Amino acid sequence: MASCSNDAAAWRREMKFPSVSGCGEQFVDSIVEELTRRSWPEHVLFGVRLAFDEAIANAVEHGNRHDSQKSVLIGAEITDKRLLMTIKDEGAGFCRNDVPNPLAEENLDKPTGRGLFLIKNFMTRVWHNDAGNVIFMEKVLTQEDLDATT
Amino acid sequence: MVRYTDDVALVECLDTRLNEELTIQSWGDELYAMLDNIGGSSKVVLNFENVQFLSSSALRVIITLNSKVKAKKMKLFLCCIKPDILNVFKITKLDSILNIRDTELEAIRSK
Repeated sequence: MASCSNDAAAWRREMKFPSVSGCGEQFVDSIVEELTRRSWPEHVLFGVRLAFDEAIANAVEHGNRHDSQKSVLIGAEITDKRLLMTIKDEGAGFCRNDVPNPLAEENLDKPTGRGLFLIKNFMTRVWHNDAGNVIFMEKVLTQEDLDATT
Repeated sequence: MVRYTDDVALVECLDTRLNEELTIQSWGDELYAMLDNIGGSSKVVLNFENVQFLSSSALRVIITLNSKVKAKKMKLFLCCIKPDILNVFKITKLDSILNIRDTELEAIRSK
């Protein structure tokens, strides 16, 4: 299921995938392709892809708990200076306060627990719905992004 | 791919993208198996020259490998990491618990 906008300035897509590891790979490829067309720098695209991957992994693993009968709904809206990605799973959501700080001394050598932290680092703004099963990830392209090499 | 030189096991990561769960799982299994069969090496060097992209699932494997290497009284060194990926190690502060070197030669020579 996909929808496209006729708005020449904005690029919009929405798709639903079975909840399996790596779902949405082609979707993020199309996001990166569109951002490349709009001259977003490589290092920003790296962060976009990483945030997307981490959010998908969280939706499949923690949201839908690897139940391939469930779905992940992915949406994206792109303009020249702004990207908004939304990822919705069919899980019960989570409590933001329960997410440990991966930079705390006692968590540094723990193998897991860095996904949401990385998303927040590479996006301009990240928020969830009240239930906690939809993540909104916004990246606003800044002059600093354009000036930086990495 | 593993090469052995003196007391060093040199592991080259052949995948350009370490983000897909199944790829990472088999990559981890290969690394852990390599470690189980290693003999006479005091150091493992993981070369990331080919890797363009990785996710936190790959970090999970690297951290687990580091713990396993330490448990064997050996040392793990990472080298040839692309700037974007190196940035991930920095913002997660993993550069403070992992041994990272610019080049393979530096990693081999490190104590």
